[in-house]
Amino acid sequence: MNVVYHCYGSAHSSVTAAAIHLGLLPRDRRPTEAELLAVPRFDRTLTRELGTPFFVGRDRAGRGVYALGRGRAARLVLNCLESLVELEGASPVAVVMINALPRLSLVTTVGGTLSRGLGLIWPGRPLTLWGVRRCYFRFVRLVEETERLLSLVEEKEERPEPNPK
Amino acid sequence: MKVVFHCYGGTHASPVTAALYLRQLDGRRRPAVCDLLRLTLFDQVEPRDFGRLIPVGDDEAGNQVYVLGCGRHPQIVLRALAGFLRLLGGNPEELLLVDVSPHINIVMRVGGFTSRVLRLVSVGRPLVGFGTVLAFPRLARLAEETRRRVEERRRGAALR
Repeated sequence: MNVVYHCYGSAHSSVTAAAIHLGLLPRDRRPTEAELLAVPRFDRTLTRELGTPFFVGRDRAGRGVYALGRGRAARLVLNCLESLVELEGASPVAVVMINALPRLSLVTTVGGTLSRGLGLIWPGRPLTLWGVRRCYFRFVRLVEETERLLSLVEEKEERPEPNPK
Repeated sequence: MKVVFHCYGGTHASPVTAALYLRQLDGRRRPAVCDLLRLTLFDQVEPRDFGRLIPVGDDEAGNQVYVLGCGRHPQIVLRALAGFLRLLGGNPEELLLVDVSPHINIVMRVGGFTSRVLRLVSVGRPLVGFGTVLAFPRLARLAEETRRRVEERRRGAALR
């Protein structure tokens, strides 16, 4: 099973969520700015890389954890995955998409647009750091919910219903 | 190999080029609009289904042929396609992407928009059909060129 955290640019929300998931960032306190900047791809993904699911690591349950920026093409990207899963005959939960964007504060959005969209790393990057740290625990909660969801799904997969439709 | 014809909507230029590639349409003879309308996908895909990879058949060599509407974000969708294919255990190098959009003319654009987005099918469909007939020779050449690319790719793979 693979889990893909997706957001607009795979530079802040999704990589932060993926890093928390993998234990690269703490869950019990806010990370320092240096810790955030050490996260793979944090504020570094380029616009021309949007769409690519970046492999961030493998969690303790062996799931692949990815971050993906879907730009303004959210519907298109989700359709693409859905059709591919059907065509390849894969399990519907082979790739689980988790939207990491609603957890974001406006400050991060503005900072991200400045830093990634316009190339203004100053003041974009400090703004994104401030924004992500400010609503950091929302990401922690998102990851915890995701982990619960994934283990529920896996349990279901191991013990299928007696009468599948 | 997976041959993917992609354009904005994946419902006019791409299915016609795919049909030419599969020899369901004869590239040497200009078709009538009704020949095009007989294609299953022609002017049928809804904008909310953009991004879906739609299978249209297998060629003589057993390669699967698909059409894909990428909307306004072809680069994002195509990168996602390759990435997801890898995630699902496939090999993205098996993809052969054919961009049909440079061969679309203004009549097709206006007709397609009228039929699919404005939903004025009775006006848009004949118009986009007429535009496709105009673009037909170019699409036929693209299908021919795709056959060459597929052949080259096959030979390259055999050498490896």
